[in-house]
Amino acid sequence: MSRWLYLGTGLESSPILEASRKADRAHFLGGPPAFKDLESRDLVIEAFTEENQKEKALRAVAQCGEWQGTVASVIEKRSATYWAVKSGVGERFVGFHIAPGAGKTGAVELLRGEVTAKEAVDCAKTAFEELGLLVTVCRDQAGGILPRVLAGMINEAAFMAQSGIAPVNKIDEMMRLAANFPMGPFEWADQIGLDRVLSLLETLSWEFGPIYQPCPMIRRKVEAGKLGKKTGQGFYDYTGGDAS
Amino acid sequence: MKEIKRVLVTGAGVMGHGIALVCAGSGIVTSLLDTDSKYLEKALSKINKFLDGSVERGKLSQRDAEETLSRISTTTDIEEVAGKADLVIEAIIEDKEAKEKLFRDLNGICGPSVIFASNTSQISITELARSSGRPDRFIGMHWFNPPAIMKLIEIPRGMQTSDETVEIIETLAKRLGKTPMVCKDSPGFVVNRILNVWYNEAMRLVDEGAANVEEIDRAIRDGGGFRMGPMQLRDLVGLDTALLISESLFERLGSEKFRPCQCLRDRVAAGHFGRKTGKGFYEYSAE
Repeated sequence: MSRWLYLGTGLESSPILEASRKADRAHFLGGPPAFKDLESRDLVIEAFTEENQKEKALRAVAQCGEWQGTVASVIEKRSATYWAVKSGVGERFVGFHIAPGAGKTGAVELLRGEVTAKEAVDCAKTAFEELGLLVTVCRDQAGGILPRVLAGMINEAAFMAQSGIAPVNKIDEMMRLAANFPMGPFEWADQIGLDRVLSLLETLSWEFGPIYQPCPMIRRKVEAGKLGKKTGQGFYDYTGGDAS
Repeated sequence: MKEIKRVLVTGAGVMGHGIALVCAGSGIVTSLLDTDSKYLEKALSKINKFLDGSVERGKLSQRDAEETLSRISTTTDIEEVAGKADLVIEAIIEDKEAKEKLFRDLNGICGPSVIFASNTSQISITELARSSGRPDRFIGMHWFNPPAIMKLIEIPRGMQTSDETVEIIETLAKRLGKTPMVCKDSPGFVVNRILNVWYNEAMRLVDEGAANVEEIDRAIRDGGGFRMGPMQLRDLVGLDTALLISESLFERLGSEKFRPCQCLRDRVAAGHFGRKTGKGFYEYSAE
């Protein structure tokens, strides 16, 4: 049974944080750790969303030279390899992201960086699986597996709605009816958050080229602060109205 | 507004016989036309089997089953039936020339008020309409397999399709117990276009070697809450068909998003078409 240190304030409503709290094997810390915070732990889950804070926390871990545990770090824009090298954690560093699923269990994708050791992947995989999460190991590249598939699908659906092929709510209903999708692409976008979808599409365009160029419709919604469920409005209106 | 009382379904394949069954089940006098009586016999036996099964499972009374069957007639003679129909639903092979020839023939027999609907999934409605002699009364009616079960009918309207035609077909679809969804005529319409992005994203990950086929399928299926993983579904539908659709969408939409993936091409080249050949993205033991 692994014990871990949970750093940072990100992933507030994630299955990882919830499961960590429930499992009662995690110690929570809002800033960079010292050796005494680390010595009884075999894993650090680092979940800072702000890059400066992230770097400080990771460097602090790397500087505790006596501690040889694994660091699982949440990855958004930059790759796991970038952070592994930049922070000095190196081969003990593995990236992860929470897959924005509609599945029964929470899903985590581990991103195996260019310098990541097999032991680090195994350690993080075991810990996340102990929490009851579905774990998939993927090469360190933008969007992992599920986030990339969903972002591509949402973007295409947005281009179709934008050009008037069918309205947003109809596209969603068609995908649920004919393809047995658990949610339509726009329902998914509103759940993930349009700001996150846009940011992922931008990272994907940088990594894989113009096929991920974000649809203007998504960008305009983000500019207007219509970010989905969390702001009450996105592709749909959650304040009591209908589809926008 | 014109009420549809008699329907002619052309093509007695998987889709055609299912469409005829749904129409007849909703009280519409239905003719099923094919070029070879062999196909018609096969279609009738499948229809019988479906109705018997529904009666056995208590979903249909014996009397309703008999009445449904009595409303279906089959023929190989286009002249005999085409003149009587209010609506022709075309469900022959997915080949533009074959469909155009059929619509030209039908145009010579059917009165000007008869509506032509095509079950095509890949050919432009606006373009097919040119051969029908009635572009305002020409429309798409894209059913999903199996027609008796699947609720959605995609209704792509061509550039010249009239509002009245759209309304008549929507009303009919509802009467058949289906959910009609009108969309603009464009490559892949709505469902196949989005589905193919979903497939291609997954297959691109396979091509890149980001993880193996099982892991990618599992991450998408179980992580996303889909019923099947993209590669599992590809195997089920058939990789040869998948490649044809993929190539057609790539050609018509022109975007790299739709470029057929190498892992799909390789399997088709090897003759591994999925479940039907025992091998595709996965291996299947003979049962």
